[in-house]
Amino acid sequence: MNRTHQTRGLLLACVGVLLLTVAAVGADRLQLLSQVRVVLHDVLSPGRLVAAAIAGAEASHSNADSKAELTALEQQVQSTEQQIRQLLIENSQLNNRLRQLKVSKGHSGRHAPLAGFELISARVLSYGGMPSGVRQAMIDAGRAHGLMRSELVLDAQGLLLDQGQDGGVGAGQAVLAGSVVLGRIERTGRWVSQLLPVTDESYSARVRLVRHSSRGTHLGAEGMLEGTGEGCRIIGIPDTASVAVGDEVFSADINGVAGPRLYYGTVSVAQFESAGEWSIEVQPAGHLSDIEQVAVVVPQLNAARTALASQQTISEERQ
Amino acid sequence: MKHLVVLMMLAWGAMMLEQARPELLPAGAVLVPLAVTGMLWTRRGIGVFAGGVVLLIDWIARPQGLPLVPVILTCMVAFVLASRPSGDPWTGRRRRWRLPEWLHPLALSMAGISLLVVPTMSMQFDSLTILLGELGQYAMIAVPLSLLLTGLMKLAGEFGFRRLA
Repeated sequence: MNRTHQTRGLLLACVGVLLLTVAAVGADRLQLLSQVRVVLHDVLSPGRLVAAAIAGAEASHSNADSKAELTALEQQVQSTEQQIRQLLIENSQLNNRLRQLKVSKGHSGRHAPLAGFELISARVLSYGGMPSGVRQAMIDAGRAHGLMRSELVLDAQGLLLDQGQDGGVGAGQAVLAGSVVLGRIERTGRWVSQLLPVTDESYSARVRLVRHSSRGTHLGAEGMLEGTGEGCRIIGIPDTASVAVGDEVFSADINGVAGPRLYYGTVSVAQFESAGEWSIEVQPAGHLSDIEQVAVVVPQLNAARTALASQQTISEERQ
Repeated sequence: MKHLVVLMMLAWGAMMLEQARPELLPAGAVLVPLAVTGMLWTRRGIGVFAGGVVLLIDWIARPQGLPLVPVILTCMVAFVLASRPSGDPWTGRRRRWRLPEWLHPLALSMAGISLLVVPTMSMQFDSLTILLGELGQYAMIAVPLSLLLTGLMKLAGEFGFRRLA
């Protein structure tokens, strides 16, 4: 092509673009391009929506993969919240004890608590009673040691744990998952024990309501928690007490011994009854279906106190 | 003429992609290299004019400041084309510009992107570091795309899909 012709064409192109640009800027200043923009965006919309839909489908696939991570994170958050609640309760107890110690001006070994608790770890052996294979294996193994069948096998339905009398587990002891109460030991064999869940109609325990606010943790009324078969309820709290949905339910004691507060769940329903008491339903925090490992709360004497007592006895005898 | 139709369709696709995924494709990161390649492909006034119109349409759809890119980039491309020696630009004839031929599309694309980014940043009185970061984000898309289009342009010339003289 002729060089001059080409250069002329390029020059005309530049001038043409320049004129169009000036016209566009002028039209924009006069608000004449708004309709053109609408048409342009309408022309671009079909492809833009398709690209956005494809991008959304890819995001949903990645969301499906991250749902498992989200579930795990939620469980972690719940367990962390439970730990926080427990720590708040223990903190308030420690503060009370510190005040008492300050009043008494010092402490000695005699002020250490006499009774404490030990946690015995146990795994869930079965969710529906003793499996026949395990039963026979236990009978065969126990027979070799001269043990009777009744000492080995628990003919009962429900959750079975792989700790029994030889592990220090006894009937009536509380069973925890973390700091959440799952129930208590109903019956024990030599090697296994049966769990009575909190929702069972024969379960009952003294509990106390706790409410958290911006000004701290407040201990509420005490009552008796009972299982209803599907959930739990609290009885014995007069209607003069303050109860609200969302209040947390902790143990008042552990087998009658004062100790750390164990978590049961939250108040889901709180209504006045005609008998002058609250009708309270509790949503248990523990779920037996996905439990693999539990801890059994076993009471124990403070070794320091018993050692101190024995030393005193020895010194008195010498005198 | 068919080259212009293809350029318009590709420009439409680039604008659609940039609007659909603004978090991935900054405005102009795809369109500017495409328009520059379209202008250099035909090596004629009509191609330069079409590329300038594409850039102007993009400004109309997404107005931001003054439309410097359509005007200045069009003139730059026209100057580069007018300065080239006649004949096949891919042969080893003596050239005025020391910049290799295959770098022209890339340099022009980066110049166009700078015209997009610099006025915006200077209006916001941002620091040089932020400016370079912004340019870097554009360059991550524009540089490989421009090199790819340059390679396609050369291949098209070798296989006869593009007029070399």
